[in-house]
Amino acid sequence: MGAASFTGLLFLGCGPLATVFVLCLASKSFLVLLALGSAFYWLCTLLLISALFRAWAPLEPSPGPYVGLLLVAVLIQELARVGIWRFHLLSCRVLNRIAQEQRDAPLSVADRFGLALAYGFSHGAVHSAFFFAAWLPLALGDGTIYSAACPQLSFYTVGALSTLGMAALLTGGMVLWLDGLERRDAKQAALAPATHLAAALLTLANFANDGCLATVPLLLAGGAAVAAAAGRRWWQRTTTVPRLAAGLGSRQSQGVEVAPSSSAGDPDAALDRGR
Amino acid sequence: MRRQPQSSRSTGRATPVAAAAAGATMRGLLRRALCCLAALAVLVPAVQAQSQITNVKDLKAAVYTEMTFTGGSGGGDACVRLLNASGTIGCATPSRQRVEGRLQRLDTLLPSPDDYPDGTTFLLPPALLAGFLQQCAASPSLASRVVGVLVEPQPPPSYSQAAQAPLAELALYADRSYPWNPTGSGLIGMALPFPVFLLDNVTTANAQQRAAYNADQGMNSDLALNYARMTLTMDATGNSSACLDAQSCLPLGGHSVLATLPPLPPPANSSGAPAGAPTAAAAADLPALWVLAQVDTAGLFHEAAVGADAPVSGLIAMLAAAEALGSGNASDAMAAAGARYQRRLVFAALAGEPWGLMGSKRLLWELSTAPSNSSLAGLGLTNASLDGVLEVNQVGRARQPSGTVQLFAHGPAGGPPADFLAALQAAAANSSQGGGPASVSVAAASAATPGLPPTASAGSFLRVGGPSVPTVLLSGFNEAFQGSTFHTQYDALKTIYADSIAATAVVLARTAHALALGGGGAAAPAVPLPIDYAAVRVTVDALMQCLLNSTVGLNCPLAKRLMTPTAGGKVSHYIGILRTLTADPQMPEGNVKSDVERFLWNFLAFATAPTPANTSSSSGSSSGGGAAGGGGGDAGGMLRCQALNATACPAGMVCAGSRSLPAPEGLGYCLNASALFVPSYSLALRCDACDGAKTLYDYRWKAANETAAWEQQYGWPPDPMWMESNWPLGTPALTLYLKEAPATGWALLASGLAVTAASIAVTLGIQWAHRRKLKQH
Repeated sequence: MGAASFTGLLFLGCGPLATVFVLCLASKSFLVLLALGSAFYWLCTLLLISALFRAWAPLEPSPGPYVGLLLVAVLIQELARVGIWRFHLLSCRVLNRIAQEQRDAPLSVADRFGLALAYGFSHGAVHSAFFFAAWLPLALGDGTIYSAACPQLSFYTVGALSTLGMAALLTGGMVLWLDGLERRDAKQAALAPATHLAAALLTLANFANDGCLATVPLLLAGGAAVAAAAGRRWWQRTTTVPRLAAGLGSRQSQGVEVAPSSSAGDPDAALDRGR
Repeated sequence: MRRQPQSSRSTGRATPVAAAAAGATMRGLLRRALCCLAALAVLVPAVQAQSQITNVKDLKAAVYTEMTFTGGSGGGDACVRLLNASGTIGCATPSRQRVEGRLQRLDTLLPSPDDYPDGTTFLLPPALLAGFLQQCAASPSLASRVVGVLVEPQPPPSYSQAAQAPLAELALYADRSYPWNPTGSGLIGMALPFPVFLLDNVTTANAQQRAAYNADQGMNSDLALNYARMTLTMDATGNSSACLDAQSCLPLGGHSVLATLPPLPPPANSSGAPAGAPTAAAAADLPALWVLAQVDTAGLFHEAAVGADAPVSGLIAMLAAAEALGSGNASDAMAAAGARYQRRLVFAALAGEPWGLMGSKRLLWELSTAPSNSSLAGLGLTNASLDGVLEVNQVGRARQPSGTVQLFAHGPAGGPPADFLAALQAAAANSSQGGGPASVSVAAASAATPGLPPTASAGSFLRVGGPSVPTVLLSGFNEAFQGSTFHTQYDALKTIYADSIAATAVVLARTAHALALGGGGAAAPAVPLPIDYAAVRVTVDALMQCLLNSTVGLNCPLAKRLMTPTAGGKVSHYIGILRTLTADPQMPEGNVKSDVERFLWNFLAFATAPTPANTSSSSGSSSGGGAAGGGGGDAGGMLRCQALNATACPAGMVCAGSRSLPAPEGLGYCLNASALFVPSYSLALRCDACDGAKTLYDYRWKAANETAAWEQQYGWPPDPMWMESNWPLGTPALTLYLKEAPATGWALLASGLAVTAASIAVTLGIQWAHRRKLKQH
């Protein structure tokens, strides 16, 4: 391993996430703060799960105990996602009220997608920190490790690729989840927990010999698909005329074109004003 | 005593996971890790299970197998560099840098040195070690290409690591090549320019798996291969004089322990002598019969060498004999008969003897110098009083398959002195008395032997005292050392027999008793020595646990009653280094005297001290003065004291049994005994400012030549001046790990950069397209 491997793994696992942050979030300080706060929330959630399983650790390394672990862990995170939704509603109301008081336009659809992206980014980033960045410094050393069940890929490589897939899946999933709920599209909203659970259970295939050859590509494909679906939804919702405000934050605006002409060319301007 | 803060043995974390790449544990690791990754579920807390990985620390331990250097039987150890007047022996990396090489196991030696690959660390069974190192010694090009050697601990090989004629330069006979150790390979004396590590059992299994993995990969450097990374930097180079000047080494040394029976009289000008103590006039002029045993052993891996048979079996026999001779039963029998010893028994546990008979040589030098500036000041012994020497060594395997304990008496050329041999044989004939073994036999060593083995400490006394001093080595070997474990790590507890040692102790005690009473020969002593064989056996068993069981060590019950170890109870029979001396040689400071030395001192003090009942000559108390009854035992009426308070006891008494416990439990007892520490280090060295003026870690050793004339007078060969190299912190260290092929790292870097660049390009492209789309609207 060494510096080259460490850098490669870092870029492999975290590069796209960093890209999202730098190119999509960093220019808006409100989104940065929101991402940080949300990350803390997800960190607490993962610590809670960790504490819950402390009594049983280490689990017997067989599929049975891990099915239970995965189901409980996914369930808790999905409950936490409901909390994100409620906070999202509250924050939209507050921002809209501020905009109204200042005679500004309420949040645009693009603004709401920005908020969702910040939540999703934080979920993916905390996941990566918890399960990838925590041990990544080990890759600075000379040693590596392989599993007998997966002699083709080192543990480090599998970890980086899995993190990449999961980060994309969680980030995109949050966007779909919030957008789906705003539009009362249950099918779309259900995609996030469903893909999360599917990805989690998919990793049980790693118990089989050469299972990683299936799980890693599938995780990457799943992450890419969810991220692409989220991106497509964002494209559709922000470029379709008339653009609709997802009115769950203000029932009055539901189904009404709300973006004033002043923000038509810059969907994020509302957020800037709402800071 | 090993290096402490300046150069300590590595105490790397114990390896909980046998983490060969092909191991089942790794399967669990990857499964667990991936499940966690995917589930975002649990950073499994650090609930330790040795075979599972629950946190990053465990993951690191799975990636890197680091051996812990514990020494002792079954523990890992490193061959380190020692220096003498003519050069170096032992092992070191060629530079100060750590080295690493691909791991390859050798199942057999290759016929030509050129057949061995470069850049390789060889994993060897013990049977191949000697042959491989001899190939390296014969081929400098091979030695320069070998990165390192890892030695599996088992099975024991058929050779000894010492020379065939160890310490031949000290032989007192002409045929110095006589092979006392016929299976000797001479590994101890080799200077090797690469690290050699003795693996522990856990690391061995791991290394074998890793080597097998490499073999499966065809040792193809384009694939991931297992490597061994070794750190064995040695500061000292050249010889002992050079490293002394550079202050990059410290002398091998320690302390011998003496005790006398009866005790020495208090100094003539002292007051407060205990009741019952003999007066100077009555006891000062007793000639001395020395009963010798050695304390230390040697080996290619110093800390792993236990020396169960050679020499600890002899040491235990001597200690048990001392206890039997000093018991209340013996003194009561003597008092009842109104008998007194005509010779003073001096029990000597000699330190450092494998290193040129360092302990006995230094002791005899101290005896020869003026008492006023000697550590033996007040002892009252001079060469003139040297009246006989009985040494005991290698008696742990004297029991024959028939059950007979067969001992051999070695003497100077021409055979052992007749009266000593007769006394030994008479004692052996009476061995069944007191419940002892039915059959114990003592025979003169074969006439084919040239004389006393040069490894015998008795030879030093013979050299200085002259041929008139009757000298005998009592041992279990005849013409040559038994087996092939002499000076190896295989000379361990399980290879010796307690009943063999106990029978020897009884023979030794009866012989010493008879000789001390002034008798000798085959005649029965005027006062038979009452011996309870069962009690002797209990003492032998207890001493074997304390001195040879690496699991128990000096945490044994017997030691706990006598003293408090400072090194966690770990027992080492490698003499180690001597940083300094105490201003008062008798001060039992744990920083200067090792745990073993302090244990021996306390044991002998209690073993040779008369009980309070005996000192008052009033009753028939049986064994209160024995070591087992010391320390925390009930010794009513005895003055309590603190060992580190030099004025704790009246003159002529010693403070024994003091422990690191709150008073009064931790206080020792003032005993009317003569127990002494005598420094053991090269006569070619002088310790400057060893009066406490400097701190423990200040360097204070200088070359000296005050003893040159004395050495020349007695024909000593040049002093070898044994030193041990310093080494930096983190040395020695051994890490096994799987290393990726270099191309893999670059491929990962390229992949990571490509993915990141792609994500940037896609994001920017979508944003550009999005803005353009909005503008179209």
